[in-house]
Formats: sequence, C-alpha cells, structure tokens
Amino acid sequence: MKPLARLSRQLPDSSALQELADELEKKYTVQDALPQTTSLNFYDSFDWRLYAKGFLCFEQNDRLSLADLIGRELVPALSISGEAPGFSQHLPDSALKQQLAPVLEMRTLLLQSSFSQTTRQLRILNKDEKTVATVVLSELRVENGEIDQPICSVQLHEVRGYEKWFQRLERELEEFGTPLPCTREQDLKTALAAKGRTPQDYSSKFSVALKPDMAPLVAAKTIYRDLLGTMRENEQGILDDLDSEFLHDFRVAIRRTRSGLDMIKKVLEPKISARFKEEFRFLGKITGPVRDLDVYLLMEEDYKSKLPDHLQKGLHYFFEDLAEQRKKEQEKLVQGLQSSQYKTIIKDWGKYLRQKKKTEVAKKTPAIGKLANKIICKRFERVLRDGRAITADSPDESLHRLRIQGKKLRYCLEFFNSLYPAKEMKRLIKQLKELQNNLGLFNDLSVQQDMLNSYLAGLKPGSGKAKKMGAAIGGLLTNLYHEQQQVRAEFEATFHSFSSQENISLYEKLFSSAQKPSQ
Amino acid sequence: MAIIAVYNIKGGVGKTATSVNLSYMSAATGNNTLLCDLDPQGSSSYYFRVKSKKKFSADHFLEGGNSLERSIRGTDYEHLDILPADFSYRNLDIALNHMKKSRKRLERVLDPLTAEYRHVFLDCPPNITLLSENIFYAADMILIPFIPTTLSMLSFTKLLEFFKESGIDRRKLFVVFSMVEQKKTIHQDTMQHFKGRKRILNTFIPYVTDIEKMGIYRQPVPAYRPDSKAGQTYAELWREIEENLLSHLD
Repeated sequence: MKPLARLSRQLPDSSALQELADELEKKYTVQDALPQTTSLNFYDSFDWRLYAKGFLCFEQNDRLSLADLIGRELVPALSISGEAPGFSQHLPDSALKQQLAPVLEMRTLLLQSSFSQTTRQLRILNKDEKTVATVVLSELRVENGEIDQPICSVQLHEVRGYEKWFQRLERELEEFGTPLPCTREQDLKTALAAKGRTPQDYSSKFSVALKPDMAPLVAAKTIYRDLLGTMRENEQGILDDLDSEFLHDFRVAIRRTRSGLDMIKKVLEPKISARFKEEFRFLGKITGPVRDLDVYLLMEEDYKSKLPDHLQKGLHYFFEDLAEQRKKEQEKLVQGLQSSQYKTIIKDWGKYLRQKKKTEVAKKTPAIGKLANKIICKRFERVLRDGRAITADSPDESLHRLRIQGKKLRYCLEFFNSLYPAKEMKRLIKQLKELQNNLGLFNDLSVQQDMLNSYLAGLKPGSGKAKKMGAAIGGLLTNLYHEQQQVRAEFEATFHSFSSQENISLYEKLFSSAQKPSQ
Repeated sequence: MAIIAVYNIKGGVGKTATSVNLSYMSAATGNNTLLCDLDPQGSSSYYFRVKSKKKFSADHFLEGGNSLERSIRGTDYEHLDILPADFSYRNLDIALNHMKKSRKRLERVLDPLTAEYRHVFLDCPPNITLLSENIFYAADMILIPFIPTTLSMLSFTKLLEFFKESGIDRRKLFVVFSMVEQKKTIHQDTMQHFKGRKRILNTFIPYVTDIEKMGIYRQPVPAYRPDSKAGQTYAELWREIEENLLSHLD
C-alpha cells in the first residue's frame, strides 16, 4: 500500500506556531487538543553505529522507535516499560529488534541526547466532523542545554483516503511561508550542538591529518595524542562496564601506541621512549584478562550453536564460571584504572605530548613524509618475506608471527594514511585486511583451543558437573580444530592474492622513495 | 496477520458495536488494524464518519488489489483504518456466484493486506450465504456476539451443524455474550448453562446506554469513555481475544 505522506517544516519561533494555528482556524474546522509535553530521547551506541547506517533510534512515551534520518518510522514502534533500552538481545522479539541486532552487535544503546517536546495537535475536520488531516505543532527544547530557544516546527500528516486534503493543506503551509524542511536528524544535531557535540563525535577508526613536511616528532605526537584521546574517551565506559567494546577500543589504542613507539624509531627522546614502552606494556597487561574473558563470553551464542542439545548443560556451566571470573577481573581492572600509577602514566604522557620544544625539531631528521615511506616499505617487505617462507608444513607459530607483522603494517598504513592518495590507501588496506582476517581467525581458533585445553586440565574430576563441562569442552575442541584446519587451508590463496605483482607495484608506486621491496 | 470475523446469523445482536470497539482496542494497543465493513447498511462506516468512494462497488471489492486499497480510509485513530461499506454490497452474493472458486474468493482478496495489517476485522452482514461461507473460510477467528436467549441458542446450534457439514474448522468459533441484562433470569440461566465451556469467552458485554450512545458520539466507546464499564469491558474482552488468538495461531 502507498505509504502515507508526511511533511515537516521549520518555523522560526513559538509565536509563528500560534499564528499558523490562528490562520488554520480561520479557514478550516479545527479540533484543537491541549498541548502535551513529553521527553524525547535519542539512543545510539557509543560509536554511533545506528546513525552511520542512516538510522535514528528514539524513545518517547515509553515507545522505542527506529526511523530514517528524516524521521519516518521504519518498523512498528516497540513498547518498553520505562527502562532505558540496553543491548538489542534484551529487547522483546520484534521487527525493531531484528533491525537493530545486526547493526549494534555487542554494543549497548546509550542515551545520546534528550529533548522535552511540547506538541499541539490540530485535527482538520470535514463537514461530517471526520478528521481528514492532522497538523502537529511542535516545540523542542534541549534538556539541560545552554540555549533555551526551542526548535519550532510543523508536521502535516496525511489520513489515508484523504489525499486531496493533504495537498490543500500543503499549499496552505507554503503560503504561510515554511520553506525549510525539518528532519529528525536536524533535531538531533541541534540537541548535540547545544552541548558542543556532533553526531559521530566518537569513532573507533583511527584518523589523524598529517602533512609530508611535518617534523617527525610533531607527527608522532599528533598520532599519540589522538590515541591517548581515544583511551580517555573510553575510560568511563570501562569503569561503568557498559559493554565490551569500551575496553576493546581502549586496548587497541594501547597496542597502536606501543606499535608506534616500536616502529617510529629515534624520534622521541630515548629516555621518554623507553619509559613509555614499559608503561604501555604494563597497561596492556592489566587490561588483558577482562578482554580475554570478554572474547569467550561473546562467543557464547556461537559455541551453543556448535553443540548438540545434550552437551548444552555443560556449556552453560562453563559460561557461568567464565562470567564469575570476569566479575573478579573487572573489579581488579577498575582498581587498576583508578590507581595512582595509572593516573600518573596518563598525566605524564599527556603532558609530554602537549610540550612544544624547539630543540628536538632542530635535529636533522628527514620530514615525516620520507620517514613514513621508509617505515611502510620496511613493514611491507617483512610481511612479504615471512609470508613467502610459509609452506603447508610450517608450524602454526609461523602464522602467528606473520599475523603480528601484518598488524604492524596495518597500523603504520593507518598512522600515515593522510599522507597518501585516499583511494589507493583504501585499496591497500582492504587487501591487507583480507590477509589479516585469515590470520586473525587462525589465531583466535588457536587461542580458544589453548584456553579450553587448559580449562579442561584444571577441572576437578569426579563431580557430575565437571563431567558435563568436560564433555561440552571436548565437543567444542573437535569443532574448533576442524575449523582451524580449514582456515589454514585457505591461507595460501589469501597470501597469494596479497603478494600479487599488482599489489607490490602499488606499494612501490606509493612509497618508492625508499629502496624497492624485494621480489 | 489474523482475520477476525464478527458474525451472527441474526441481526441486532451488537455485531457492529463489537467490531467497532474491538478494532479500536486492537489499534489502541499498537497493532495496525483494518476494519472491513461488509454490511451494506454501513453502520461501522457511519460510526467512523466515513463514506465509500463514489466509484467503489461490490465488483471492485471482489477484484481486490489496487482498487480495494484505494478505498481504504484512515479513521481518527492511530493504527486504525476502515474499508467502508457500499450499498452495492447487497449484491456481493450474486457477484460471488458468478465467480470461479467462489467459496474462497474473499481469502484471496484479503491476502495482500497481510503485509500492512496485523489484524483485519470483518463486520459481517447477518445471514448464511455464499458470502458468509467465504468469511468462514478466510477468517482465523469467528467471533459470535450472542444474546443469551433460547432462540439464540437455536441459531448457534444451526451454525455449528453448518460448520460440520461444510468441513470448516470449528475451533475458529468463539462466542461472546452480548447485550446482557443481568436482571433478566433467562440471560442468567443461559449464561450459566454455557459457563466454562470451550470457546465461550469469559468477558461479556453488558446492555448499557454508553454503547447505545455510540450513534450519537460516532466514536468507539473506549475512545470517548475509556473508564466507563463498557469501555473497560471492551478492553478486557480484547485482552482475552488476543490471548486466544495467539494460542490458536501458534
């Protein structure tokens, strides 16, 4: 069936709303309802996954809606009883849940912005006093915002079967002078702007703008500052334990920093470099246990699907135990992040990155453009060399080492992305990603098997519970082993396409100021 | 989608009031709902202040598709649309008679609406004809408003027999006592007789002036008097029906 027409237009202020109402009442039979004030809450994940897909999720009157950026509802709204929505898997089964789940994945919905909305509904009636169109006058006020000026708009809704009335009123609004469309996206932007924010003000993707003639120290500091910023932004979410990805992003920033300290050599003062290599190693260590457990807990549904019904009970015990362990580790992590040691590291690192000392720049090092070429070439060569050495008989270890090399190459491509043409860099990163996915999966499957094996060894024999867990873990191990064999078999083709002449030529072309990669 | 037919072989049993108020309740609880007024008298349409298009007729209705969809009207209530009746519906039977697969025609007409509506209510004309047979086939639930008297019982028995003969699933049938005057012994006795039986709904609709007044207000009772006894009754009745629908459809 044809969707109902709806239009939304901006009005300058509250008095324009009243003028419009008066105007309509002169010409039409209007039933005017009392204004109603409700709160309108926008939700998205911390990293704006819904917005990035063109979705807006909001709650009003205990109903959760999913709309496009204009504000048209995409699926029927869902009744939620007063509580804030969290993870998609906890929502009642519905079309809305089906839309949200694959986009949000493991991320929780967070309140991004709140309005108080006052609406006044004017029903336009025909001579039978039947409603033939609805006009809604709306005033939005940003809750706790600094600006008190409301966003005023008018919405016209078609009633099915009364298209002509809609058209007539549309002309009426045009004559009144409401030229600018009003969308939900704009509402959201205004609300965020009132707090100095914008949509997508957090992204887990790394991006800094460098210039080829920048001094290496300035460039390196820019990179590290951005990474430190990411860590700071995720801190609170880790402390509040909102979802697993705060810690994940936090750890990626740590790893990138460590990688940077290793790869961008002789740029920072040796003492500084040595100290923070050690400090960031420490940060990696204290954040590790919770992340490891998170990885398994996120696998729960996947593992469940791998085992038959009679092994599910044992699996359930296993995950119960993991959840218990995680609770303890999370407590330790929170202590770690609140410790003076952590605070000192972050404070000192931040202070150092903000310092602008001329003396360091004076040293005769090539500009970052040249240095980046050299670093990338070196990493690329290393991946090529190690990858080519791998045969079907090579030990698993060799793939794990290649994975680390791949990661380093990826990080430096991302660090220096802004120095090169975007289109080509995108292609290189995509190509590398395919190799990384294969190696990453292979590694994940190894780590999982190791973990399950050591868990199995630690089970106290004798109890029925332990038996059930043992059976479930045994079943999983078989599954994971076969899966890993398959991933390994796919490695050769994946690497072959990564090391194609075409790809090598592209690397040469982009980073050619350094020596040629070996053939 | 579930198709709920409100039907009785007899007239004046509160069919239209039941259709109007229940379809309103269905919509008010968040379900996209369509009320098809199949009674040529068009009382449901009257309650919602809707008239059919000049070009719409029984033939258009049976043709289905676009010409039917274009005749659907929004009511004054969110999630509730109505397909208004047309006086030509008095000829629906004759038109059906001339068609192939005449017993299952309605099912085909209603099928495309599945995507749009969660519940479709059919306010049916009183009689047993080819149209009623069509309704019985198409419906997932046949709700029979029933004044608890001896004569009503007689017609209900007849209907059950008809179902049996035609091989239609009798589990679709549900009885709701309607226009119940609790002071009348005959009403009390009849209800007592049926109490606790399968497919007799627990909630009954009392004979009250608020329902009679629908004609004046031209609004569903739960819309203009949600806290009245009648308003509450329809809300309760809808809850009971939804439960039955869910268990029946699963």
